[in-house]
Amino acid sequence: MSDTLRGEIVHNPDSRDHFEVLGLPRRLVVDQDQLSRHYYRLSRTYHPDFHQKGTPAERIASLRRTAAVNDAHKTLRDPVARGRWWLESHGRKLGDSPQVPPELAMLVLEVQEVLENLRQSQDSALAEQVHARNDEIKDELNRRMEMLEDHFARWDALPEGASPEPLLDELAALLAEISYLKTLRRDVDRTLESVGA
Amino acid sequence: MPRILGIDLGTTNSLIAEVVDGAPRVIADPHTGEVLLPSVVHYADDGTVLVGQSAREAEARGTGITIASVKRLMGIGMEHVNADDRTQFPLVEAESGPVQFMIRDEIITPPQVSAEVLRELKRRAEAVLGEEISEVVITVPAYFNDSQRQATRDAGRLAGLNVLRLVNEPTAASLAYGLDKLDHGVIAVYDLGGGTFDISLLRLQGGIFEVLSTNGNTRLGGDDFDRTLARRILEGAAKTLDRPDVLTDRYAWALARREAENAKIRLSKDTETVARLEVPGMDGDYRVLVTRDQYERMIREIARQTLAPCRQALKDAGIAPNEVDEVVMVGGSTRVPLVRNLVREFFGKEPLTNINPDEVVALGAAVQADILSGGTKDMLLLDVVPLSLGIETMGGVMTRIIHRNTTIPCSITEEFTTPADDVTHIDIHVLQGERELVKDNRSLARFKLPVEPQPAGMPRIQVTFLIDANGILSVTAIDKKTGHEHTVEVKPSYGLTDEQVEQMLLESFDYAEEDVTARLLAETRVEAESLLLYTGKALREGPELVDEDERAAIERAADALRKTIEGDDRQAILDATQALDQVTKPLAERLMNRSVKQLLLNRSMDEVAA
Repeated sequence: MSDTLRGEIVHNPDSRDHFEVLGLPRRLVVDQDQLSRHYYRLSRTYHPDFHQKGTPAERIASLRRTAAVNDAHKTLRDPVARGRWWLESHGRKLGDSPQVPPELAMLVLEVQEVLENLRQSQDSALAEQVHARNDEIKDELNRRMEMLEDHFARWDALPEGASPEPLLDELAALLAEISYLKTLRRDVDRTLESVGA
Repeated sequence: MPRILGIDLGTTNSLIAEVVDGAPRVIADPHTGEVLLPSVVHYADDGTVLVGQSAREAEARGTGITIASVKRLMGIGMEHVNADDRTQFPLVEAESGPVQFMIRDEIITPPQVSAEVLRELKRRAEAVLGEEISEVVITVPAYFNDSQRQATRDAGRLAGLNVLRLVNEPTAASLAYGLDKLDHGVIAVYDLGGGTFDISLLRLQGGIFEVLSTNGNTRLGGDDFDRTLARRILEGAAKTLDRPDVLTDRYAWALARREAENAKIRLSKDTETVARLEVPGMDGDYRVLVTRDQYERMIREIARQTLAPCRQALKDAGIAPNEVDEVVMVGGSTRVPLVRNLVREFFGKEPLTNINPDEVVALGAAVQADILSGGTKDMLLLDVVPLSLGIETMGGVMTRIIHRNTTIPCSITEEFTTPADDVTHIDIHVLQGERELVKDNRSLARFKLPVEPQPAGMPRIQVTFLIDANGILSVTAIDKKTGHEHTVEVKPSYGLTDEQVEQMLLESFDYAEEDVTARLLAETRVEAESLLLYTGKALREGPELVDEDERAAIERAADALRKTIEGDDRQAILDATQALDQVTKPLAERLMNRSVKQLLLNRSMDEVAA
């Protein structure tokens, strides 16, 4: 694992830090190819399949480490999961039912209204409208996913000793919006499915 | 090092396979040459237990109790048993609670029935390999939940096997396909077996098989095709012959299902066939013509039910149908042309069918066994948990702790505390499923965590949910205050306790000490007698189809077989059975052709079903 040995990059399979578990540089902008490479290599090292004949202790370690590697991979692969974990590892928690983010309030209200009308009338013209709003939601979501990547880059550029608080606030807000848009999309999909459109 | 074998414990058929010089191969029965062992167990009135083909034949004679497709009932409760299953299986009637069979005043559970099939496979492998087999890999449908997996593992233990790994059937199949040669790509495995349907999407990269998503239905398979046709045949017989009683006759149903299965197989090659049903108390058979077209209309809706899980799996993996590089077909039911057409249309490409769909899962299990024994290090399977796992929280809602399609093994730690003062324990109700409400998900287990009495919210109990590489859950809890750690036993709600398994094991060892040869001899005799019955019937039905010489040859072979049955030489019976089978084959084919011709312009399936 040559690229994990340079500088401050450490591989510690027993760490609670996902970057350390995978031996990746502590950077929020993740190189997906590098992530996969490390993940596969560590899986080949620790997976229980290759320790079946080992001592009980070896098998337990293999199980625990593979679980940690899998968890780290799952978290870092997905930008939203990565952001949430980063927030939590800084002592912040994203509420389970966040308030409607102000910037999305209008869109949310309008979509809920047209969904309600569609549920009651089953009108195909309304279904068209819902499809159009759905595209709008997708665009909003995509835009925020791009913003999240930019946001991660700003963390990586944060000077040593600078306060992370403003960035944490921003990250929390961005993740809340994404979470809200995803819920909205699920509502739309479910409604469209239920009316068979 | 002891050999590790791979077992496909199927709804309809089971197989055992090994890896020799790096290549997997299935182990055939040393006497019959058969690779597939029908997953059928017959409990005869005299206490004999028959497995496989001989159990099927015993079923056709209508005595004793025969259990087929027991996999449908593994690890589920009575409340999940549907009406069809309630007529098909000799169940102990109950609204809820564990599934049990009543067999000669004895209660038998599904894992015990499955264990009979496993024991038979073990015997087969031991006879061929000349050594004791104790370590195996067993495949399960990817969509099996925790209790279904535990029940399968229990069946292995009851058969005296150490189950080193449960592997998901579709992933096993992908190993067998040697797709590791494919440097990288996305493959879909469409697995329609006798009783279960699975779809898995995998990413392949340098020998690593990473499952991206899996979905399915553990209550959907070729059995459902057979039931539909069996019902049509019986309804036709009831109407045409004015015999409504056949619709409620368990024996008639068994015959109709067998014939429906055979007709399905014939219709995969031919465009029409004649279904025949022996009706109790009637001379000759009830016959009806079924065209492939009619058959496809009957089963289309069932087959289409496999597409919704495919869509969900693609969605979960974030993959479009046209991004799938290869589609692998697994399970005997994928031989049905309609199924192939649906899959081809859905993915927009020709599915791979070059490995026998009945064998591919067992071959993959053998490859996984080889990986575990250290034989190959080139391939690695990274599988997922098929269904989300969570706990009950306030208001009867399920809170997910481990989401579906999470790579296993995986472990999640949650901290719990008490809602009131001086509580002495916390109740944890573990659930599996994708629905919002507790009542709509499968209850896996309930347990109590003891805590020191303290003011509300003070205790800090860290609970770790671990899903191992078999997809089976275990739970440990640590009291952060005292540092006390306890492992919580997760007893599946419908499973067997360790004590029950031990007791059953002891009983089965008593049984194993009975003469195994006597049992094998009994099985061979049953097979021979069935063939004699069939031969007599064929000669009566088609006297004009055989000339003198052929008739004489058949009768000579039948007489020879009758003589060997009276003796105790099993090999002699087997040889004589095979000889008779050979000389009657041409007659059987002629009879079949004749009945197709006779019915070609006669009544058809649609009229009967109308």
